[in-house]
Amino acid sequence: MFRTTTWVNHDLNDLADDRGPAKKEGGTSFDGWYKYAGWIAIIGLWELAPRFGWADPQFLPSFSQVLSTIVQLLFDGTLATHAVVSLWRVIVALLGAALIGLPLGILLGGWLTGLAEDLRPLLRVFGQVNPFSLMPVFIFFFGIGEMAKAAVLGWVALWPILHHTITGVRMVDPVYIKTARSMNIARMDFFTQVLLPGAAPSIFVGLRIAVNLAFFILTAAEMIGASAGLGWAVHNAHCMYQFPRLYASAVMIIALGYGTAQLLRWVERSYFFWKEPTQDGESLSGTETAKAKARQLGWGEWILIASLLFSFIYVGDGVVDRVNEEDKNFGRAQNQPLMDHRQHGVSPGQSNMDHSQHRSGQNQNQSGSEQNQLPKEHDEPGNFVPVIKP
Amino acid sequence: MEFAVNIGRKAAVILVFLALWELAPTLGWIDPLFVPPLSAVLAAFNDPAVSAGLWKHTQISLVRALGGYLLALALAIPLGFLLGGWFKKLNKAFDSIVNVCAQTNPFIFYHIVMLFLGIDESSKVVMIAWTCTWPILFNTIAGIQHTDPLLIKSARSFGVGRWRLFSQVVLPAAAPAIFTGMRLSAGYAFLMLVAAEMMGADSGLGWLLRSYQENYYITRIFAAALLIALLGLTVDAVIGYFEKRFARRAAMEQVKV
Repeated sequence: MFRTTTWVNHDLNDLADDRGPAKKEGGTSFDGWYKYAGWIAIIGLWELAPRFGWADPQFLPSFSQVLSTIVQLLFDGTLATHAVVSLWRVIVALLGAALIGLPLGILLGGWLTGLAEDLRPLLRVFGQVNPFSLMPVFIFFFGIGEMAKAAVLGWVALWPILHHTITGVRMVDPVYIKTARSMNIARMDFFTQVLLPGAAPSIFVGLRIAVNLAFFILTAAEMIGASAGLGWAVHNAHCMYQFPRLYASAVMIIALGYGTAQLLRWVERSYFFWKEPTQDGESLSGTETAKAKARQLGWGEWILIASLLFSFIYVGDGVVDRVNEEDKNFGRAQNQPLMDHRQHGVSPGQSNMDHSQHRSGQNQNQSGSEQNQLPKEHDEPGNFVPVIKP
Repeated sequence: MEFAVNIGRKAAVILVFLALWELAPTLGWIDPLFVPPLSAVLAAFNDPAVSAGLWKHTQISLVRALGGYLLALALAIPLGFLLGGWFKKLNKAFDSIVNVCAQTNPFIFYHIVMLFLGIDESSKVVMIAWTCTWPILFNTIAGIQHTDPLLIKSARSFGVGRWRLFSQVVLPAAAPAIFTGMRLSAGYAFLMLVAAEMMGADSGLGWLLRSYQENYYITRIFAAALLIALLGLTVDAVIGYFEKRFARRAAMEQVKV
């Protein structure tokens, strides 16, 4: 009836892979050890290569050095701040995208199926639009602060969520729907007991893709125009030739992305707690202990998760504000003299977007390998007074 | 007949959207300085300076994307065969690493690759290859591992040799999954490339776009964005065409949920 798109297949493969027969074999202690062999090899190589001079230690600091940098940066708080800022941006954007995408998807998939079918090509075009390319439009609608970043991330996250929700709702087995209808089920019950659980596998796939993409794009957005966050930290460390810091921030952001994805998987597994025994029954005693642990979350636990999320958003909001404020002050204190002769009458601290560029450009002049190559019709890239040339 | 009506309705939706795009700025619902009407954007394509620049940088970007993509294909498909088919233990050992690598941000990777390869073409190609490798690798492994055992057993019982088993049974069975991965990564390739070019490059569509942005050529920005979206759709359609040709079974049949 409907044409599946690429995303679905990929991740349903993934889903099937989780529960399918492929991973069932084994279960000895050797197997447990085996899983880590790859890690040991990679980390060992990372540690040894710079030490023995197989790779330039300046460009590839050894693993232990990176680790100590992480610990050091975590203790002085900078890395933690950047991590909180990045995570806050992702979570806010994802929540926004989910709040729009899920109801809209259910509406389109469940009730307005004709419209959903008609809208599909348009939605695909939207999904292909790279939010960076329309940055000025986002700035126009959302300003230049955190909102624009959240909107860029939300834009990227929205389409997979919307698409998979529509697909998921339409994929619900008609037999279930007919059975439920013939039992004269109440509307609300039909929704919560039949439609939502039926659509959930696909919805989770959409969420996972959204998380993945949001982290990718977050990094890019922070590298292109931000004054804090892990992406900025990576970019800035690169510009300042602080390679251990570069690797430390990189490891941190990878860990965050991976952790978020795993968290979502955990929620997914506990949502589908009933599926495990039937599909994976015999492997319960095997290595797949994580599966066996999956169980339904009670109301209390859902509330706990939600309140944790919201308190994080609340705390993160404060951190982001503080960071942006500090950046403004930094701009006033440090950038003013430098900018005065370049920029006429434009007060620094006008926008976040410019600061990272000014700051990194000022801290080391050799850095601007990227920015300097951009053509500049007016000399100052940070001048945000729009000069419109239609 | 029904088919034609379907197409007509879809076209109508797109036409309505385009009409809205044209009308909203001209009638003043949106500030035309920020969202120019469609006609102005199309007119920008007509400007020889713009179209020449777009054409040139599109070519550059496409060559980069294609190079990275082909590199990823050359790496990921054989590797997927090896890990999925022959060295299952190895697959297990590297499973979690591959998972983490797939989560690894291409932009971070780009910064690290730049340290070793500089900021010229090769680092961009390697970044694209890195991004494209993982979906292809995952899907190849999954496709091979989910080959119906019945097919393999019956082929074996007919005395089919190793090579023919591979080329005539496993490969066709895994083809839909492999194409799924290829399609997925082709979509990624372009998105990431444009962003990377905005970050550090001296040519390419992303760079062109950034320069338009810095100079606030709003109509040109829209023209470039439109072009990028259309290119993405075209690439998707081309791979979809190959998928239909070479992967006979509908992709969905393979994975039943």
